[in-house]
Amino acid sequence: MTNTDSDFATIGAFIDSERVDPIALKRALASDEGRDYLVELIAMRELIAAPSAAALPHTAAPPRSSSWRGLAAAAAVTLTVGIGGYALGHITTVRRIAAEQEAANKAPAPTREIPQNAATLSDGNVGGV
Amino acid sequence: MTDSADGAALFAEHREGLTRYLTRVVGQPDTARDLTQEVFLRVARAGVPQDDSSGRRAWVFKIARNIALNHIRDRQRQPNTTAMVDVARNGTQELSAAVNQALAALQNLDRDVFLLRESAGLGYDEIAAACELTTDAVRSRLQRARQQLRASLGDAIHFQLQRGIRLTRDQ
Repeated sequence: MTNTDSDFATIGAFIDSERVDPIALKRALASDEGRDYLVELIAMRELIAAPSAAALPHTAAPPRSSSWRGLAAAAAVTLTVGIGGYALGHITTVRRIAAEQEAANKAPAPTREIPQNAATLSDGNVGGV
Repeated sequence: MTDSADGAALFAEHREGLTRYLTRVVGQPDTARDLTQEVFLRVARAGVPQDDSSGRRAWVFKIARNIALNHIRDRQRQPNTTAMVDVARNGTQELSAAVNQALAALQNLDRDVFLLRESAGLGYDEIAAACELTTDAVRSRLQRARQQLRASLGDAIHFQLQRGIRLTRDQ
């Protein structure tokens, strides 16, 4: 048995709480096709009743907070790398300068050795005395 | 009771249904809220017809429908400045988009009839009064809209069936 448009309309009217002829409704629901239609109409009603997709342009857009969060994370990384790099450079430079100063304060290594000469040491002129 | 008090009471009675219906028709909740307010002003200003509750409900939704149609007409006249953004959608948004697309593909009057039934919960006689049609024409347009939506929303309907169904109380 095949359902007619009238059978489908009867099923539609039934779920719309309209008054229907019970015999027509029984006939409409006597086939698998009719019962499938009833079940699918109910499912369709739930789909339509779901929160409107109208909100889609708003809800579909990436949440603003997440982009800010991403931006903040990028800024934090940049800042960390920047400060870290500065600190590392600063420490290295300070150590290098300290090492240079220490080296500068040391007496220079002798370039040649002068052998001790007793005669020279006994010279009365030594030291201008 | 004054006319405006009658109008306010009538509006309050149907406010939810009006917002639901207008949201589906214009597609933007914010705009729908504005239009709902416009319906309120129109209902409060006009004298509420001496009719039964069904007749008054049809009258309110007729006003809402006219306001929505005017809004859509005005919107179509304006240049489209909406930026097309390709974004990832989750399952619910996909379903929602599919429903919107399927509704948009219906004939204007079929869509009005369908939404007055499904979103506003109007009876066939009330829809007939709101759209100035006969009840048989409402029945026929509703049937056609449902058949078309059933075909275009096949996947979405099967998805819904897998989740289970529940016969909701009449709006």
